[in-house]
This record gives sequence, C-alpha cells and structure tokens, in this order.
Amino acid sequence: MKISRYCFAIVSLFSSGFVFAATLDLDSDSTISRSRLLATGGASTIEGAAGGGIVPMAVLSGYGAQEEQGAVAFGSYVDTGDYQLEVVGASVSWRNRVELSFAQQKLTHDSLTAALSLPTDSISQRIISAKVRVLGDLIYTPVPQISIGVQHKKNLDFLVPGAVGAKKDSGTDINLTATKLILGGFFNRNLLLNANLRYTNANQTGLVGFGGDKNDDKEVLPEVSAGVLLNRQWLVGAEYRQKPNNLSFIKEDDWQTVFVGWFPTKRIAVVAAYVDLGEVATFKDQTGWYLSLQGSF
Amino acid sequence: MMNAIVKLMIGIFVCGFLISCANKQNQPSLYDELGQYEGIDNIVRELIFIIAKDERIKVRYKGVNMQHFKKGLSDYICQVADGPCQYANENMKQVHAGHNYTNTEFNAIVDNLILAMEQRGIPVATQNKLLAKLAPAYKDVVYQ
Repeated sequence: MKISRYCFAIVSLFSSGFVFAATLDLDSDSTISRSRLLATGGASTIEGAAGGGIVPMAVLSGYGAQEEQGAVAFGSYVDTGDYQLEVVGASVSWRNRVELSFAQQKLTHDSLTAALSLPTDSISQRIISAKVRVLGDLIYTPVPQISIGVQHKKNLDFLVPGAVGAKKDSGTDINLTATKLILGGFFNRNLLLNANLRYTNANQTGLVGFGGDKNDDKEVLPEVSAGVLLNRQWLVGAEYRQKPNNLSFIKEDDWQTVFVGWFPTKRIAVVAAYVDLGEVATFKDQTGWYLSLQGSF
Repeated sequence: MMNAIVKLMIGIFVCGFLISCANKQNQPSLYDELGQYEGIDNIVRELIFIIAKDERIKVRYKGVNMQHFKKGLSDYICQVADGPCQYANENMKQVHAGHNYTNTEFNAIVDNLILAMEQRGIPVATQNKLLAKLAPAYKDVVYQ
C-alpha cells in the first residue's frame, strides 16, 4: 500500500519532469531572457515560496532580473515512514521584486489512523504566499538580499487537528529573510548563507492547525540554511527549522535536512534531501527522504 | 545521525576556512591562474562572440569600437586580477555613467562571462575568484 503510493509519487514526479524536458529545449539557456545566474532562483519549499526544502530564502522564484518576469511549477514528495507529504505548487515573480506562490499539500497518516482508529487518513492544506524583496542583491551588493513574506494557510481537514487541541484551521505566517551568496566564500566555491525569522503559530506548518491548548500566541522562530555550490550546477547544504510547541497532546520537534540540489539548466531544478522531522504527532524519529522537481519558465 | 552530520559539516566549514587562509601564501596569483594576459585576452574574445549573439545586450555594442572595448576589458580584468597592467580608462563609474545599464544587462554580462570562462576551460575556483573581484563594480555600473 505504502510502497505503491511511494512508487506512484516517484513516477508522477519524474513523468512531470519528462513533460518539462519534452516541452522545453534543455540547451537553450542563452535563448531564454531570464538573466539571473543559474541556481539563484533556488528551489521551491514545501510551502511554495522560493528557498530550499523547508526553509525559505530571500531570493525570488525563477530567474527574472529587475527588468524581467519569472515563473516556476513544482512537485515535492516526502516519506518518513509513518507519514507521506505530497506538495504541488506554482509561483510567479515580477521584476525580481514581488513573488506570488501557491502550494497544495496532502499529508497521509495511515499509522496515526490505525493507532487512533481515526475516520480519515489524510490532511490537506492550501497555502497562498507573497514575498517582496526589500533591499539588496543576493550576489552584487555588500548587504544580503532581504525579503519580507506573508504565507496564508488554510487547513482543509481540521477534524484531526481540532481533536488534538489546535485552535484554528487557518493562520498567517510572516517571514523576514536574509540571503547572501559569497563568491568563492568556501574553498573558492560559492557559499550560500540564509537566515529566516518566522512569526507563526502553525503546528507542523499548519497541517495540524494553528495555535493550541498549551500556547495560542504567535512567536518568532529562527530558521537557517547554508550550502556550497560545488560548481554552477550542484548545490549541497543543510537546513534547520525551529518549530513551535503549542499542543500538550502531541510534541513537535525542530526539523532538519541535508540536501543536494541539481540545476542542469535554468529550466530544471531537482532537489533530494534526507530529512529529520523528529517526533510528529506521537510517532518518534520521523526520518526519511525528500524529492522535489521544479520547472522554470 | 542528523546531529552528527550537522557537526561534521560545521567541522568541515571551520577546517576549510583555516586551510584556505593558511594556504594563501603558496598559491599562484589569480592573474597566473587565468593564463596571464593571453589567457584573459582569450576569455574576453570568447565573451565578445557570446555578446554578439545575445539579444539582451548586443544593441548596447552598436557603434562601439570592439578592439578598444576588448583591450579595455582585458586590461581591467588584468588589473583586478593583480596582473602587471594599468587600466588606462577612467574609473568604472565614469565609464558607465549616463548609460543607465540595467540589472538585467549586468546579469546577462556576468552570465556570458561565466560561459566564456567555461568554454576556455577555466576551473570553477578561478572563475569564482575573478567574479568575486568583479562583483563590487555592480554599484558603479547599474542604473548610473
């Protein structure tokens, strides 16, 4: 059952990759007028905004410079044994100034359903986000690129989150993000440094609702990521995301990833990661694999 | 598992910085790594071929004396790479003043320069060192 779902997700990710590859000329970097450098659009986070996998960055999606537009579409899949998360989404950016993104998440929780005899086996969430580059340029200014983002999240299956003590089925995160690419900053390889402050009350990004019996107030939580570009196309790095702990019934741990990103052309980005989500809704040691595929336009 | 990986990565980072600092003395200069003036000149020639086909920026070179541009850019790169050249022109701000070069055009040139260096077989580390020396010019070139 789980294997078949996993295979389906892999197949659908790669078939969408082949669709991208088939409809786009892979060798036409110079013919598309998207001028920012390779990999500087980042990948798509599970919440839709441009970044890594779990931590957003100040960069805007796609490769549009300040006189251009950009857009991306993505699909991501995470499997930690007791949980699977599927995400699809898209994003547009305008003049390297404003980014609008959309993500639809579906968390499948068969183990939880079996353990608690729940009537449902999945929770979906819809996220609409906006991000504005406030100042700086990722590469060319001494100051980092700094962006402010807003993510409005709507939990579409609030039955289980409500039962474990979450207060609301929707919430809004605010992100203040700084990102800098230091040319030759690590062994003469380009070094990517990123930090985000998130103002949030979302439980497990909102998949387990917002606020809770233990704490119902929003708080500011730090998230950091760093990576090294081995060459133009390969980025390796790690992310850390601190999480709230709003529910007395279920503990929430911080999230970590180590990832490899591959940017063969400005059209395609592939990210694979090993993720450690800690304890998620009574199930300990949720570690596993993350795969994300992004096409840029 | 994860903590071990994170600690290992931090360790690698710290060691990397220490080693790269300690090694600075014995390394060849960036100018040598680029193949001295001839190597730089070849990169710039390659760059000009790429610019000539680039719809985003080729209009900017209409009526420009390309021999003059080639020598000027080669001299400039030679100088920022600590080579034995004196860039004869005024500073970057004066050269670019009044043209209102855009962020898009600057990105396009950098994109093309990387492509030119790739085609000349310049190693990634050398590419990055040169880009790090050229990037601060952004403030003197764009929207001036």
